[in-house]
Amino acid sequence: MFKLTKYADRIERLVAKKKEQVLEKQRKLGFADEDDYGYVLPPESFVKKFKFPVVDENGSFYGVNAWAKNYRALMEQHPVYIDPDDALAGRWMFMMSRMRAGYKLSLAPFPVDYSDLHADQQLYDLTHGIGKDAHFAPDYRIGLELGWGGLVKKVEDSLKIHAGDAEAEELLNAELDALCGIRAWVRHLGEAAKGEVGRINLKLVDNPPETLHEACQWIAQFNMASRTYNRDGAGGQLDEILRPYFERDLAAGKIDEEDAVFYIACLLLNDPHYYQIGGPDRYGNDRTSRISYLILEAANALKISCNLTIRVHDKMDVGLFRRGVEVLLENNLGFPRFSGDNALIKGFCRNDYPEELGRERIALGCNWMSIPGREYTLNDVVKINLMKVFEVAFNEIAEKKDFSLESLHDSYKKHSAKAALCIAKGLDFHLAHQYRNEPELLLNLLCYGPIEKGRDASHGGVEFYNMCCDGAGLAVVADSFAAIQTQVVEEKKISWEQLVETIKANFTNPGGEALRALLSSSPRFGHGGTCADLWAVTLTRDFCDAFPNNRRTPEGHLIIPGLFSWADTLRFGGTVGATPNGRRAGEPSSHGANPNPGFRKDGAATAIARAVASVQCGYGNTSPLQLELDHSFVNCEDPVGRLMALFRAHFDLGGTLINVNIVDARQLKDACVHPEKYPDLVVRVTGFTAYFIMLSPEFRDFVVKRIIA
Amino acid sequence: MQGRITEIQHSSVHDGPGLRSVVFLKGCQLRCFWCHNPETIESAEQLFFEENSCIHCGRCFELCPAHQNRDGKHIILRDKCNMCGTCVENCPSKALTICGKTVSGEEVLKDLLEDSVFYRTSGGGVTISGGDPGFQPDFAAEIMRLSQQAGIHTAIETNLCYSEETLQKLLQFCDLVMADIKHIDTAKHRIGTGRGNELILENIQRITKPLILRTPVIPGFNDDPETIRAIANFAKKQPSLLYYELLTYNPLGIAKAEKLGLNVKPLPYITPEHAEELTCAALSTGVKTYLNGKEKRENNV
Repeated sequence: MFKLTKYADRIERLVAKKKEQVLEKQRKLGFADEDDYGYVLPPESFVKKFKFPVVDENGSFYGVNAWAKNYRALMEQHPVYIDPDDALAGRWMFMMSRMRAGYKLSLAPFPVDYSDLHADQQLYDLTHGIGKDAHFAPDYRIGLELGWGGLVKKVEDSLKIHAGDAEAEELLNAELDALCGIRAWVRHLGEAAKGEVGRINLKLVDNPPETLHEACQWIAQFNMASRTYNRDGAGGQLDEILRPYFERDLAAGKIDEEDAVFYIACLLLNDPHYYQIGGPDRYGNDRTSRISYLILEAANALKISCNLTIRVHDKMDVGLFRRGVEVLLENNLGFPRFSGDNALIKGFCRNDYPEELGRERIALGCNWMSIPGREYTLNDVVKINLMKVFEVAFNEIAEKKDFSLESLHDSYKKHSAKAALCIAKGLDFHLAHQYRNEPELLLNLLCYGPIEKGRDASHGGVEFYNMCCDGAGLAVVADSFAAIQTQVVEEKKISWEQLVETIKANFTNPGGEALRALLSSSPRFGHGGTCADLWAVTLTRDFCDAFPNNRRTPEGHLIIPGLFSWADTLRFGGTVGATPNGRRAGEPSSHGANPNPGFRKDGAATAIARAVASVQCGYGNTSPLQLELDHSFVNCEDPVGRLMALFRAHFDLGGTLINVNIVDARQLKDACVHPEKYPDLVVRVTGFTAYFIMLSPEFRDFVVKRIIA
Repeated sequence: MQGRITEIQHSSVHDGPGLRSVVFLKGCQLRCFWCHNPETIESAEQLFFEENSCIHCGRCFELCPAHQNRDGKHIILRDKCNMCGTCVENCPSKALTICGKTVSGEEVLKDLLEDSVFYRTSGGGVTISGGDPGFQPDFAAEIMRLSQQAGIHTAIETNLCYSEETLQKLLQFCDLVMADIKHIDTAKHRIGTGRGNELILENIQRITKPLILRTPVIPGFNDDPETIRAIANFAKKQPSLLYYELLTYNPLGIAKAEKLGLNVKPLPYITPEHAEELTCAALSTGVKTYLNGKEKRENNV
C-alpha cells in the first residue's frame, strides 16, 4: 500500500477537476455509450473559428493529403490546456475521424467499389471494418528514443531513399505535415506552461526525453496527438517502457517513489489508454519490477476510469497479482483487468508463430492483444452478428419446411461460411485501399516498417497482418438451439410450425407468451452440463471453421477469431427479430462471450468462469469473461485470495481475459433511476470503463440488467 | 445410495474455506423459527411457486382444483395438493416446481467435480448442508466418501442434534465440522428450535476434527451479551475449535417460505452496533471470534 503525502492535495484537485469535466461533457454532448477517453471540451471560441483547410463539398475529407493538411492545421492551432496542479501539459479535445460531416466511404477519391459485398454485409449484419482505423498498437520506445525531432529526421531520410516512389513520397510528406503540426502544438504547450513543465515541453519539441517526468510527458503527447487523429487508444507494456527512466532517476537521486507515482498518475489521468503491466518477457521470465507496483498505486491514488491489465502467468510475481486484486476490491472501479498468458500464447502459436512472439502480444485494447509496432489487426472493429446468421438460417428452413435440428445446424454453418467469406473479402478490400482513404499517420511513426518502407501500416508497412474477426451474440444462438432441441425435438411440447409462427409473430400470437415462457425455461449456456453448454462449444468451433482457406482471406491474410460484442449489444439486438430462446425482437444480444443474464439460479461465478473458458476460439484472440460480482461475494474472509483463485482457475481452464465489476445491487438500481446522485460511479461496461452518468438511459438499463440479473 | 437434496450451490464463499459447492440436503431435526432455508426443513417433496415467473396462462387451473384464480391472483390450496406433479409438468414458465429431488451419490459427485479446478486453486471443496446432514447421515457420508476419494475437501454444516452413532458416521469422511450452538440454555433452545441442546453439547465434546462453532444471532432469542458470552465460553473449551463465529440474522428465508405457502414474519435486523457489542462479549472470553465470515479482534470490531 502506497500512501501519497506531498502530492495528495494536487491529486485531489486534479481528480475533482476531471469529475467536473466529465459532467460538463455530459451536459454539452449528451450521453456516450463508450470509453471516457479523457478528452476535455474545447473553448467555444475555437470551435466557432476553426475550419479545416481541405474539405469537399459535403464538409468531409478523404485521402492522404487531406488528412495530413487538416491534421497539421488542427494541431498548429490546437488550444493549449495547462493545469498548474498537473505534472504534464495538455489535454486532447478533438477526434478528427468524427469531424467529417457527411462522410461516406463510397465518396473516397479512389476507385472504391465493394458493392459485391453489400448484400451479404446487410443480410448478416456484418461489422466489416472497411475504412476503419487504429485498433493496433504502437511501440512507444521508437518515439522515446528518437523524440519528435528524431522522427522528423527519420522520415526525411526515408523520403530521400524513396525518391520517385509515389506512394512512399505521398505518405512520408504527409508524415512530415503531421509531425510539423505536433511539434507546433508541443511548442505552444511549452510556451504556455510554467517552470519545469514548460522547460520539458520546449525540450521535447526537438529532443527525446531523458527522465521519467519527460518520458511521461512524451507518451502523453503522443497519446493526445494520436487520439486527435483517429482515437487510437492502445498503450504498451508501461512498466517496461518506463523502467529505465525510473531506475536511472532514482539511482541519481533525482526523484523518489512518490514523484514517480505522481508523474504516472498524471499520465493515467491524461487518458485512460490501455496498458499492460507484469507478464513474461519473450523468454518467459517475469518482468514485474518496482515500477509495475507504482503504476498500480498511481491508478489507485486517482480512483478514476482506468484500463490497466495485469498479465497472469506461471512464473509471475504473485505479489503484483495480489495487489491488483486488492486494488480492484478497494475501489470497485473495474480495474485492473487480468489476462491469461497460457491460453493466449498457446492459441497464438497455433497460427504457426513462435512462443517468443506470443509473449510480446499483450493486452492493449478493449478485448484485444497486439504486438506493439509490428502488427496490423483491425482489432475489435470487425464482427459477425451470430444472431443474424441464425435468423437467416432459421428463416431458410422455415421457408423450405425442412424441419430438423440437423437441417437448421447445417443451414447455420452454411450461412456462417458465407458471412465469414464476405468478411474475408472485405478485409482484403480494406488492406488494398485504406492507405489512400485514411493513412495511419500517427501509429506509423511508432511502428517498425512504415517509415522505413514508405508504406502505410494498413498497406504492407508492418511485419504481421493478423486480422481480427469477433463473433457476437453466441449465448442467444446457443440457447436458441438448446430451446429447439429441448422443447421441439426431445420433449415435443411445441411443433416446428408453432415455433415458426410464434417467432414470426414475436410471441404476440395467441398463446405466444406461454410458448415464450416455455422456451425461456429451456437449458441455458452457462449452467453447466446442459445441451445449451454443448451447443455453445459447438457454435464456437463452427465460428472458427467458418472462415475460408484455414482462416485466410482470398489474398492470404490470416484471420484470428474471437468472441466479443464491445458495447454494441443494443445495436446487434436491434437488427434481429425474436429468437427461439424466448428473446423478443429487438432485445439486446448477449454480452460478448458471456451467457445470457439469469443463466443459472445461483449465478455461480465458478459456472460462468467455466462457461466462458469453454468458448475460447483458441488462436490468440480473446473471449473475455465479464464477471459481475455482488458485494456479498467479497464480503468474506480473504476475498482477495478467493478472487485470485477464481481468476487463476479460469485461466487454467483456458480463459484469456477477465473484466470485473463488483457491485452493490441496490446502489446500481438507484443509480439507474437517479444517475445524478452517483457522479463518481464507474462501471466496466465491457473492455472499457465508463462513468455511469455518461451512459444513455437505454444502455444504463441494459448494463444494470446484465449485472444484477 | 440415494438421498434427497434441494440443490447444489456452487461458488459459495460463506460455507467454509475457499470456493465451495454446497449440497443442501432435505430434512432437518430442528424447527428454528428464523430458518433461512425453510425449503430444506421437511424431508418430503414440496410444491414451490415462483409468483414472479407465473404468466397466468391458466393451465394449472384447468388441471387441478388445488390451483385457483381469485380476482386475478393465483392461489394454491395446499391441503388439496397431493404432489402428483401434473401442474409442474404443464407449467410453461416453470413458475411451479417440485422442491426436492432424489439423486445418487455418484450424481452429486459428478456435479461437484465440475468445479474441481476451483477447489484446487482456492483450497475449497464441498460442504454438506441443509436441512441437516444428520438427517440423511448415510447419504451425507457417501457423498463425502466419494468426494474424499476424488481429492475434494469435505465439510458439514450441522446442528448436531442426533445420536453419537450418526455423528461418527458423518465424521468418518469429514475434514471440517461447522456446528451451531443456538442457545446455551436448553429450555430456551427448545423454545426456539423445538428441541433441547443436550445432545448438541455432548456431541460437540466428541468432535476431534477441526471445528468451527457458530451462533445465528436471532433478535429476541439469543442476542444478549450474557448468552453469547456463555456460548463463547463453552466454545473456547473445545480442543479442536478453530474459531467461534457469530452469524447475524438474515431474512433470506422469508421469500422462500412464501413460495412454499408458509406464513413467516421477518424479524428485525441486528444493527452493526449491536453485532459489535455481541462480538465484544464473545471476544471477552478470549475465544478467537468471527463475525459474518470475517475475523474480529478487540481493535477491529
